[in-house]
Amino acid sequence: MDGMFGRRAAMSGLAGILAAASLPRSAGAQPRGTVTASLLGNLPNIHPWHVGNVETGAANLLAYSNLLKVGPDGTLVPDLAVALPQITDDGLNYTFELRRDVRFHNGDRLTADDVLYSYEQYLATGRRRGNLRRFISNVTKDGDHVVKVTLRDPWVGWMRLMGYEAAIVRRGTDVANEGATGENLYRGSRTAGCGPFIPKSFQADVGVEFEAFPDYFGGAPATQTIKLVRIPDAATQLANLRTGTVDIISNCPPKDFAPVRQEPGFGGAVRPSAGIFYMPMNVAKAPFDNVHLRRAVACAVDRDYICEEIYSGLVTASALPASPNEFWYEEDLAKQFAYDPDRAKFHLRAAGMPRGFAFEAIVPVPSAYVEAREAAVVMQANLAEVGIRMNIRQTDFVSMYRSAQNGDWQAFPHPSMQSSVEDYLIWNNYHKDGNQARWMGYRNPAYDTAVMESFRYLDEARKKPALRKVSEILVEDCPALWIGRLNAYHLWRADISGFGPRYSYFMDLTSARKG
Amino acid sequence: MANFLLGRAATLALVLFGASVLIFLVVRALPGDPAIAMMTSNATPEEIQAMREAIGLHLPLWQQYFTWVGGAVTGDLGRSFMYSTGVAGLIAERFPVTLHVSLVALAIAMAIAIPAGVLSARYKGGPIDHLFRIVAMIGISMPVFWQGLLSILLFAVILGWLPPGGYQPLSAGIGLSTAHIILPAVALGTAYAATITRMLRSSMLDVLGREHIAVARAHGVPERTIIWTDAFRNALIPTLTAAGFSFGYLLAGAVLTEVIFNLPGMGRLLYESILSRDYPLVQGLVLLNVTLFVLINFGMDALYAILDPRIRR
Repeated sequence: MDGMFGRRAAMSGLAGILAAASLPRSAGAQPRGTVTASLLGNLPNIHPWHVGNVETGAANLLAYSNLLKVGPDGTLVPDLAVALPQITDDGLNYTFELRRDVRFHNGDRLTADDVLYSYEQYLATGRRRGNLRRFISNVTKDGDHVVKVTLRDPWVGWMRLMGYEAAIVRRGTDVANEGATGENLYRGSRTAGCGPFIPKSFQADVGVEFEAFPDYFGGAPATQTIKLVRIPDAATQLANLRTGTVDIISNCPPKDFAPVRQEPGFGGAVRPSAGIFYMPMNVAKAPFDNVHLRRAVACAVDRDYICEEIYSGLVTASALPASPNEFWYEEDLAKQFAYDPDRAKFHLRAAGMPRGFAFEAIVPVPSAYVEAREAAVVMQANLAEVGIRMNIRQTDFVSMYRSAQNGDWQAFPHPSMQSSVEDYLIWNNYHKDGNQARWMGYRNPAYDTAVMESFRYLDEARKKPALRKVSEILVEDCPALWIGRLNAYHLWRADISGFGPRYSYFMDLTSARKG
Repeated sequence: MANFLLGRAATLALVLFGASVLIFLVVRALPGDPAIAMMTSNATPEEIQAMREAIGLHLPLWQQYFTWVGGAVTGDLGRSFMYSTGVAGLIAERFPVTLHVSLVALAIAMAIAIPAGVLSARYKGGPIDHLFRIVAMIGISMPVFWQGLLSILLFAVILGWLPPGGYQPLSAGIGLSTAHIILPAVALGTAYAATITRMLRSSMLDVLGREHIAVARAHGVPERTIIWTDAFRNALIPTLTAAGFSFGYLLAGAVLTEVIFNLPGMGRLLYESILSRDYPLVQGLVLLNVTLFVLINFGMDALYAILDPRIRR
């Protein structure tokens, strides 16, 4: 993997040369009516309920719809539902009215039975069903076009998960088997979804092609064919964009984004996303069972340098889970973890370790995380200034999660894509029932109460007091070092319109068009 | 000859059996859990356990091994955890890509190495020899990914003559297919050409220094005949060994080259399968690689026997 480090550095250098040297060319230009986008991560299947990364999420958005979807800015908007649901005052009952003009790709009309079938099957077989199962008590219908969802505990955030993971399929769809009934959700079914595009061909890890669904309830798509192709290296993606082999790229090395975006012939945009770059600490185990040592780490790291120099401004520095541009960001709380080596030394003295301590940080090695490794090196240098020795252990995600599940870890700096930080991460990582909280080791009943209170409301003004409490407790307990919030960014050729980055980070190509 | 080949075949069968046991155990010794890889970090321990049972990891090791080997001898390599499809089908999709690139790369390597190695030996110590040795040294030293990036920069981005990557099968048209494959094949081929050139040069020098060559020269046999008929044929055995192993390595897949040129070949598939702890896929791919190496070895042994009858005895 050391070789990969050097390779990416070399690629960045080459990309810089490219930025200065050339205009876009058209060696492999696609015909009109086709938009080709490249994906960095693996595309093992396109099963709508096995969304494992943003790549499968992009395919899911093209072929499937749900009651609601998450808009580009992160707000919930109606999709198969006529409007946002009616929610009872106790926050437990949601009533959705379905559109009456929705057809599946095989021509069948959508009814409440399809929604019931989908939820029943999703909760039984979906890969990441655990979170929804924790909250959803039952799903019932009232006539053909009204669906009622009852929760066990209030949690408005479930609708964000629904929008990513639990797509509605036609009732009777074989969701588990491969080809036994002629349907194959893993490799793309032409009859199961009701999204704007129909899967046409799929080759695992290589690409997937969709064709327009003319009877889509939102109106026929502007583009006849959408191709998602996997190009597993960010610098190579950029070369493909320059030659016109692809029209849109999901990622490029952060240092190349701004220069290429400004070149004639290219476009690009950045948007705050739900992703976060942070370092959870194992609060159940020494040395991080001592809150002062956690705070010392939080005050010793120069977030601005990491975000500006390593991520070229594509990560927004924040000492809290919330980003400075979000409604629940609390400036006064963030100041407590501002970069301040003297304050870090104060906490070391308070912990009885004025000369510092050592810990091990597990850092992911896949090439898409080059910047995370560079950021870890900066953190290592920052921490060394106050006497804290951070030993870096590089490993892949599977080994890392294995260590986490076994409690065999101390800190884990990494970027993480989430469906929603305020509704998802703060629950999943720190609430006693959150799956990740099991291995994080963090427990605080007052925190659990504050989180559940914030989950009662969709309205920001009503959520804010509870989220203030959540942030106060997190700052007090400091179970993680929050470095910054990831921004979603993409580059495209200038003749592409109707496309932009999204809060969710998933590429939404449903409205993309060329020319 | 038949006895010689039968003996070799029996040895190879034993090697394959041993390799299958080793592959099975080594794959399971990798740190990490495939169920966690499939479920991500958000899964509960109960969900992870359910996944382990669904993919058969709860069974005793010996049972897992015999299920796998039993299937493998009938061509069924199991079902990929990550891709949710048959391993044999996945390999069947990827192998033609790797085979295509490997054959073209090997052809390029041999086309460069044979004249370079022979001429280098023929004019030992002269300017041609020095030139080829320097070029060979550069070929061995330059990382394939670097050469690949430079070629993408020049031929795809700046000149616009060739696509920057991707794969098109021969069925898409020989021109289109060749345009896609030429850059990765050259990148790989030149790297192996350097190794084979040095091997051939060394073998040629060894042969050219033997007595029978001196006798042939004393009898006035033309130098061209001595080089190409007497020396080259004798120098081929070690060269074929190098070429055979190079071909084996090429068929195993070149991960970096496949990533840089976006080729959906075996190397990339193996890399992904290891990252996701996709046991059936890793096992299937490694077993195939071992089998290919074994078969290439077998082919090399047969060729030696044809080239040098003393080996059969």
